[in-house]
Amino acid sequence: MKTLTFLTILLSFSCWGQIKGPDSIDGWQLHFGTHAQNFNDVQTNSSGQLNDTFEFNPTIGAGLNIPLTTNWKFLPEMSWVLPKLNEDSRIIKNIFFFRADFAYTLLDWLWLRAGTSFAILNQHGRGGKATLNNGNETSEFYYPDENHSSVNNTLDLGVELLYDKWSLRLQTYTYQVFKEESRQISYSLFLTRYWDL
Amino acid sequence: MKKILLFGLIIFATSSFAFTLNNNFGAAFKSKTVNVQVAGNSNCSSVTPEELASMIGPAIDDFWNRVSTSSLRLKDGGFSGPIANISNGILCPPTDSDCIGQGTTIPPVKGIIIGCNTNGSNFSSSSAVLAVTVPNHFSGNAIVGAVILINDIPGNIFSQLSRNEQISVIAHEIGHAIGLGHSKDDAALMYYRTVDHRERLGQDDIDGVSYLYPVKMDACGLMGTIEETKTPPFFTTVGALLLMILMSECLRLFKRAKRSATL
Repeated sequence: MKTLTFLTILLSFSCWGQIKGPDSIDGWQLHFGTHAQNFNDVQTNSSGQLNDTFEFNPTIGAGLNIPLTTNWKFLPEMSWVLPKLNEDSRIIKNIFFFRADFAYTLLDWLWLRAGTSFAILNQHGRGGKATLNNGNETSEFYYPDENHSSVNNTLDLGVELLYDKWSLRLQTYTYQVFKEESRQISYSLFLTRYWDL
Repeated sequence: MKKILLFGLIIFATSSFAFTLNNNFGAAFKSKTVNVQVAGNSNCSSVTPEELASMIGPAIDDFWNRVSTSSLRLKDGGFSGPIANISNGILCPPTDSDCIGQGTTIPPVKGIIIGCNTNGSNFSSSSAVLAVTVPNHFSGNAIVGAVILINDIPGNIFSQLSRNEQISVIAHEIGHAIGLGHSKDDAALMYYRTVDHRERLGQDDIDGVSYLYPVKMDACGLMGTIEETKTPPFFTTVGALLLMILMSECLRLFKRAKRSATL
């Protein structure tokens, strides 16, 4: 329901852009790339290594391009970090971003972006049990069997390099902007293809 | 078709672990702020009560309180009042009548209480078990209180660990107290044994605490909270994508119609 509400808000923005004039909506885009969640803040092995290197988590998405002034654009987008699955997967984890970015055209080939996202961490448990080591014996533990979503409002900053109808983009998301102790930063790298409407 | 299959394999066939819960009904604290305290009458042979209390801060701030997608905030509460039988009583789940019948038990507590204990039956009579944790106070499916017992029987291994390792052990046991089970991933704090270097939570820990204590942001008052549902995420995703496409298509048609009108 929350998703639908937010999409309705995006649609309202888009319609507002449309009402401004027949050329108000420039086009739409599809993007593909990778996403790193909680950069440099997750332990990745038993030696204390953190996730401070490149990681490949496929991400896809789509968005609109709505010019507001000569230099400013409104760019509503949705991105989906695809879940990692294998035959033992008992929890399906999806990350969605519903993003409202404003882009400033610094140069013809360079956009600076700032905006906000609803970052939705959705986990769907399939239930079941696992027998795992516990001290010097084993015990049964339980996989979750419900669908839970954690919704954060993030501060987004990005830089986008354009060439013809393509672009490369680095997008960062700051979680818990106002809580220093739990502030975490995630980022995405996107290759985007734009189409005119 | 082969290309599609290859693309699918590249995208989806990556290995992943999964967190577990320590019960089959997803129990968690109802309150998002939970006190962590050392029992006021706890006596440890290996660390002083003050040293034990000084480990609470790092155990919560370097691990569980860092998670941006979790609403749980653990609070260093220092010392609690005295807890009966904390040093030598048996720690029992509230529904385990066999355990409760064995002897003097530790009473139900509120929040998370840490103490040292010398009763071998809590640790399978093994000095190799570092600590045990049992949520021993429930209200319905919600945890009200949990007790962490550090193994203090003679020859225990806890006393031989470095301070950082002891902090990791306490952080691990706090993970059990808030409802998490073990992980198969040795990068996770909830792995069943201590590892060489513990710096941060692993991905399984973050996912687990985010599952049990999700952030329910209300987006500047524009929207309500997310409810727990049984709706598979696949349908949510497909629905959202379809809406996005529909939105784009509507705008395209609207723009065409407007252009026609101006000609």
